[in-house]
Amino acid sequence: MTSATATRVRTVEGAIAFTDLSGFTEFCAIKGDEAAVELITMNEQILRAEIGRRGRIVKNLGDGFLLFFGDPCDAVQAALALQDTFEEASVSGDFPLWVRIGIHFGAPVRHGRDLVGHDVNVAARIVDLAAPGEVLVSEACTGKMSRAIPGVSFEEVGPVIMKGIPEAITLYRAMRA
Amino acid sequence: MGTRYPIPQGARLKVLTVSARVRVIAEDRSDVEIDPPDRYIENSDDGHVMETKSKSTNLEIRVPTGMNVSVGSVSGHVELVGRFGSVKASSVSGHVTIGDTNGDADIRSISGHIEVGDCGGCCRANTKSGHIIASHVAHELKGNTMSGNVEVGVGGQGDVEVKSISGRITVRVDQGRKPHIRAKTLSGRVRREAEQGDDFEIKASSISGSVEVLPR
Repeated sequence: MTSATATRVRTVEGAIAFTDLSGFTEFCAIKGDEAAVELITMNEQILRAEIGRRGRIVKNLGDGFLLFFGDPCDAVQAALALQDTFEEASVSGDFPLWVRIGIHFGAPVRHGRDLVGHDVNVAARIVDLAAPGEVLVSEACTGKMSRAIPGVSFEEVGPVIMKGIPEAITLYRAMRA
Repeated sequence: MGTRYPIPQGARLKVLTVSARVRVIAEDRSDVEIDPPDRYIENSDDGHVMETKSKSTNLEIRVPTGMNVSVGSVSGHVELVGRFGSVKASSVSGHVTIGDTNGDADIRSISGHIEVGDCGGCCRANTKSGHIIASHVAHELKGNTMSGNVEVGVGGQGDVEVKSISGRITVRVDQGRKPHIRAKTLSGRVRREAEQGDDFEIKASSISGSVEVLPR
């Protein structure tokens, strides 16, 4: 007699965002570990302040974060607010807060407090294509937005085929209008 | 000899590949020709897009001068020869080479190099480990690379923002245009030799690379 243990998979629908602090390794090498800690602390403080209650920090990746938002509009608004604050901090200080942000919408699987699955992988691929200071959003995410976001527009970046992802994904750049 | 397709009014060409090399040639013609001839080009329902796909078969496509083109590839090189309208191209690990554009260009790669000829509109070029070379960009330019070098010529009809992590940045400014230059590097060298003024702004920043703003 065999017994099978069914693994119950719990998914949660929403916007998955990755942030990535560009050049962190080089910054550490030039400025030293103390300055590097100051940089990632500043990155985290800004992020926590801007995310607020709109979303949650799923995971700290060292020089980046995995974030989750129930509402894709909140994800885009938070991401643009983050970029505005990072830009101000970079201009006024000595720290290059060059952060790339990629957002995708899907139904990742809960794994404790973590999120895993195909949609998380897609979001991770999107951030790879974003430029510092840029917010790239998948068509799956823009398609789920229930309302227009005042003062925000989206520009198509073009078709993107990503390693390991079978279908082409259309990406948009979220911008202040 | 490839297979020829008429172009619906105002349609743009969209090419999707995995590992195939894509070469698109803009020339004096009124239709689109694809080689090898067994490849199909399908029109979208609204007629705005002519789309073709290939996993590994290399494609050569001939289009009219000035056509808008978008290409997405994983590892294949993307080469656009001639003068196009607007261009959007991405390749994860392939190089992307664009001839000239009348309109905007948005080029992305992760590990490939990016080369653009004469861009008549705005240009965005973004790669992680490749070089960015743009002969001349008339309007706004945003270029980002991590370890590659950036070499761009600018017309100064729009602002310029270039970032590199460790690569060298060289911006050459058209004669007669006087930029306000904001150049910053943590450990590299800065040279500001272009005549300065308030015609437009150049923001060039690197973490460990050198930054040069020179006259063309």
